[in-house]
Amino acid sequence: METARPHDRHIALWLFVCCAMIFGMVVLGGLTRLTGSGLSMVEWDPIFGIIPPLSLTDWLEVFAKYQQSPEFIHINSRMGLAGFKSIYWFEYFHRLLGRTIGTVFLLPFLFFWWRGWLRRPMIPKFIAMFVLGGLQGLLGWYMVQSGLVDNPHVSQYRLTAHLLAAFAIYAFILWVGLDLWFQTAQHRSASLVTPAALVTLLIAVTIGSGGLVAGLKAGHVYNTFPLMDGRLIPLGYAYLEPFWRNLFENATAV
Amino acid sequence: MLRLAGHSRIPLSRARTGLNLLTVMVFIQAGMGIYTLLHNVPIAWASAHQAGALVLLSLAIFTLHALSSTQEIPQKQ
Repeated sequence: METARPHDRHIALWLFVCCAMIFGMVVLGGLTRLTGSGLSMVEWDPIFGIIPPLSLTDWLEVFAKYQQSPEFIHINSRMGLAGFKSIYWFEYFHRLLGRTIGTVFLLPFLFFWWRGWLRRPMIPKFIAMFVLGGLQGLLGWYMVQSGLVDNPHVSQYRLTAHLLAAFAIYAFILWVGLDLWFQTAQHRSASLVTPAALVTLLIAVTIGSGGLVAGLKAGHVYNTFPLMDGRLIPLGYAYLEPFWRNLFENATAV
Repeated sequence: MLRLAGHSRIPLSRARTGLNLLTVMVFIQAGMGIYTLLHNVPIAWASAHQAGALVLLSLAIFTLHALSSTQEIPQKQ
């Protein structure tokens, strides 16, 4: 960044607003998962999906589709329309918020670009942000698909990927926003072995492990701390072969 | 650690703020995680723990950004 520009901080603010919305999106996503709502919408229509069921007929139609799904058959077979509506709304608003963020990002971006307020070299970054955001939607659908086949269990890998991608996109937008806000001329040549970078990486790995915990519902296997079943390392920690599989597929190990 | 950085152009007060907040947040996040676990994962706490993770990441990014900034251009008036 060679010279300070008058609109840098406005653009930074717009990016921070997007970050705040992504924060909301992450929390809503977590709540969707925690309330068992993630498999309530068995289809994905990126454009017309924005319209929710409105009439009773619409609702019955969408409920009927859900009733064909393994989750309904094996787990929620006693769920009525009222219960279905509440899980549907969670997933629906999560998807709606995603589309809203896309719009809140895109329209100002186009405006800033048209007005010439954006630095040329930064434009590909903004385009990347938009594309990545869109891909997140696709990844979310890919994740949901894993729970719509015979065993209604969403893949903990896809769940963690969807979570980590969200945090990565968030971090990217935040970083660029910070650059613009503080008018950072340049960064020292990126050395990934600085303590700060390592701590950030450690946090990212821990977040990934959190995704695996959520995906395997591992938070329910031992509800004691610091020992698990009276031990530091419980029995059943390594029952899978080869050993590394335990770190990703064994709730005890995870 | 900040002394080891040795570069006079790093925004030190920002980096220091970031590091302090980061340290505090680690304890809060760990505490929330343990509480969530001990109470059989109540939804509100699980959600708060997830939000805490994002706060923690934000602080790490903020701190990393401050520590790796070498120069800032003064605002033109």
